[in-house]
This record gives sequence, structure tokens and C-alpha cells, in this order.
Amino acid sequence: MHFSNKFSDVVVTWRAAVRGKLIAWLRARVIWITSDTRDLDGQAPRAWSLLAVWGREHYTETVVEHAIAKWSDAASVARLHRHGRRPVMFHIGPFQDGKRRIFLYELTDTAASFPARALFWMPESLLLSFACSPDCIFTVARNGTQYFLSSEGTQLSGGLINSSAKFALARGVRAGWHDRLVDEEAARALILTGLPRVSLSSWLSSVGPLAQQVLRKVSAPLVAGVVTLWLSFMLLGQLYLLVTFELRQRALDRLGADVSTLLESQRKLDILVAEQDDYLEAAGKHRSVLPMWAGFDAVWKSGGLVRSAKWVDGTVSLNGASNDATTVLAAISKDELTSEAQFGAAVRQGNNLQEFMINFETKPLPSSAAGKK
Amino acid sequence: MSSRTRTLLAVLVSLLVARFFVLPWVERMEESRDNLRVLTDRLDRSEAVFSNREALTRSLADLQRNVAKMQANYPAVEDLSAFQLTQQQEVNRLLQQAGLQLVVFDWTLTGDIEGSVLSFARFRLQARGEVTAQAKFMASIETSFLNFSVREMGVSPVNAQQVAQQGGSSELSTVIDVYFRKRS
Repeated sequence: MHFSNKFSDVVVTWRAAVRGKLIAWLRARVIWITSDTRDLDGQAPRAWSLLAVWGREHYTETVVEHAIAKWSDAASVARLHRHGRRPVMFHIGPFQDGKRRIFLYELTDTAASFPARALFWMPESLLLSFACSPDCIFTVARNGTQYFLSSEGTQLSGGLINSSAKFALARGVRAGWHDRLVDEEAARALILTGLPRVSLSSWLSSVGPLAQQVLRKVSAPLVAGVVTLWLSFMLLGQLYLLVTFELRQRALDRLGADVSTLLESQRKLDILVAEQDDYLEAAGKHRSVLPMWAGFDAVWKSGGLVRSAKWVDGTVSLNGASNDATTVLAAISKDELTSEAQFGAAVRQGNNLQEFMINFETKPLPSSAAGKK
Repeated sequence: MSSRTRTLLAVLVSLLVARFFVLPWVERMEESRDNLRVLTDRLDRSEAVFSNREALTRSLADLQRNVAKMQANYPAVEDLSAFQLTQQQEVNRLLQQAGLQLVVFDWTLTGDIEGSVLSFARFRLQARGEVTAQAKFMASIETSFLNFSVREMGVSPVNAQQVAQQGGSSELSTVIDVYFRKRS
């Protein structure tokens, strides 16, 4: 028990330490592009990062509904709604009335001045929405940018929509919602909370343009490498087959011409063994009927009579009468070629004799007609 | 040339290369691999028989003797009707020797044993006479015809008093399989 507790403590400590290191590693590799570009620790970004999170001020958000069947349909919808040459990110939302909600995020001109060197690009509001419960509205306020966010969409603060209450009214959020003010620090924490909830399709649609360029650059040498490897494999395989075939052919030739005769003898041997097995199998099915006649003899010797007898595949059923049925059964049991001799029905006393039915099995002959293998 | 045309051309060339170069090459490789496997099996067998050639020759001779003895019990049959007639005549001769009266003789079934060199023909026989004569007849069948295998046999009285004692009369009914070799 004591050892068990210590062990679980070690596991918990170890797990917490690994989790802490992983989160720290991730915070340094996720950059957040707002009015400037910083990682989640507030430090200057590395040359390359894993994920670039675009601040809400750098993109427009549109929600459309389309009857799509697969991920590539959503990609087509995103292309359809693209206005210029600016990159569009998308997220496939819930299924509603036979259609899918698709969230389109198109970068604005302000984004062009921020080189986001990251493998994936993702909009800030998408990550925050994963951390926002349906009955909650976030008021995100940081660096002079303010917007409202529910689990179903966002809107920049401005015009008539200048409070979370008006946003809720405009969006038709059900009564009972509560407001939460999200400042810069809270947003950083919520981004990390939302990351594990991003679906695979969203990750796929989030591969950044820079990463795509790199992929395009390496794809040609990659394909060339794969083709070279495949060609080398085929050539080596062909060479191995040729050399091995030649070597084995020579080894066969070295054995001499007698081998053909010996192989023919082996073939004959195999055929003969199979034929012998056939004869032995047929002989093995053979059961002698003589024990049944021995049963007749036992009945007659006891002064009795046989009413009928039947023999089917070695199982005998003898129906008769005798002064002492047990004498008959004992005599049949003693026969070397019988087994499992027993009364098949109750022995009944007739006028003078005991009526009986005896069943027994006949054994296979000790030496079959075909001989032993 | 637009990029779309270039892509289409690249796909076309790739398909042509795959159809007329890659696939035939792969097929030839598979064929070579099969040939090598056959040759390897042959080499293994050859080495095995070569190293055991004396034992092989001896075993073959022994086995040929054994099988020849067994074959003597199972006649090779070319004309099934003629064979059945001969067997029926032999059975009839044994019935007469035993002093039994034939009631029914009927060939009911013929067939091959799957995966075996043997075939069989089945007949049903009913004969009337003394019980001891029937026993003698069945014993003759067992000792004279090693290719006969009794499947069923029944003895029932012609009338209850006759079968009661040794020397009484009864009816014997039996089903017997006759095994023989198929002439290849």
C-alpha cells in the first residue's frame, strides 16, 4: 500500500512536469498577431513557429450555409467566397437544417504588413469560440480593439453594437447568458485552452501560405527522391533475382543427371504412399460380422432362442430369450472382438424364458486385410 | 503553355510511363520471383533426394511390394458392369454352397471415394435358409472377398418358432460395399 501511494505520487508529479514542459514549449511556438507579433509568453517570435493566431482586427468573418458532403466541398465554398487574392481560412461548423455552417475568415489588407512565418494559420476568434460556452458572451478588449464573441460568431464593436447586451440582442442569444470580459492575458490562456479542441479538418484548412510555398519547393526534390529510391529498389531487386537464379541453376546442374531419376522416384514414392493410405483407410472401415454370430452361439448354448438380430456399421442389437439373460451377456462380453456389451432394454420374464435385448460394438480387426502400415 | 496544360501533360506522361514501363517491369519482376521460387523448391528437393538416394531407392522397392500386395485385394476395374456380374456370380456361388435361397440381389449404388484411387459399388442381398448356413455364408464373404465391407446386416425369423432353435430358418438381409480400383 505504502509503495503503491509513493508510485502514484511519482506518476502524478512526472505527468505534471511533462505537461508543464509541453505547454511552455507550445507557448513559445504559437505567435499571436495583433498590433505586433509576439508569442504567447509575450516574447519576440522565432524564425519559424508552429502556429500563427491572427488577431480579430486582421480579418473579416462571414458565416455561410451550404449543403456540403466533404471537406473538399468546404474548400470550394471558401474559394467561391474569396474576394481578392487574400488568403481565406475556414472552419466547418455544425450541421443545421440539412446544411453545414461554414465560417470563412478572410485576411484584410492590414495583415499584409505582418509576415506570419508559421506552419499553420488560425483566426483568434475561432480558438476563443472553442473555449466559450453557449450561454456566455466574451467581450474581448485589448490594445484598443474590442469585439464580442459567442460560440456562434463574433462582431467588432462599433455602430449600434457597442455592448455585449446589444450583441446578444442582435444575435438572438437566448436569455440567461452571462458576460465575461477577456483582456489580453485571459485571451492568451483561452487560446491555449481552445487549441486541443480544433478539429482535424480545421487543422488541414489552416496550413499557412508560407508553409504551402515551402511544401511546393520541397515537393519536386521529394518526388525525385522517391522515384530514385523506387528505381534503385527495382534495379537491385532485378539484379538479386538474376544472380540468385543463375547461382541456384548452377547448383542444380552440379548435382548431375541422376537427380531427375531420383526426383521421379520421389514422385512415385509419394503416389504410392497416397495409394497405400487409401487402401489402409478402406481396410480401417472394415468391421467383422462374426461377433454377431458368436452372440447367436452364446444364446443357443444357454438353451435360449434368438428372435432377431441387426448389425449396422459395427453396432449389434441382439433380441432373444434365454433361461438366464445375464449368462448370455457375460459370454458376449468375453469375446475379444466385442466391446460395450449391455442390455438395451429391461430384462423381462416370459412364460419360461427371460426376454432380453443386448447391444454391443464390434471392434476393428486386429490385423486388417490390407496389412498394417 | 499554361500551368493547367503543363499539369495535364505531366499527368498524361506519368500515366503512359506507368502503363508501358512500370507495370510491365513489375510484372516481369513478379514472374522472375515465381521462377526463382520454383527453382529453389526444385533445388531443395533435389538436394534432399540426392543426400537420401539409397534410402529412397530402398523405400520405393519396399513400398512397391506392399502396395502390390494391397492392390491384389482391390481389383482394377475397366468395365463396371462386367465386374458387377462377376462379383454377383461369386456371391451366388457362395449362397448355393451354403444352401441358401436367394430372395433379392440388387446393386443400389456406385460411387468414387473423393481423393482416393478406390471406388465402390453397393449391393443389397436377401437370402433365406438356416441360421447356421447364413453364418457360414457371411464368414465365406469375409474370408473370400477382402474388398467387401459389410455396412448392414439383419436376421429375422421367417416365423417365430423356426428361428427359436439352432437349425431354424430365417431371412438374412445385408448391405455390402465392394471396393475396387478405378482404371486410370
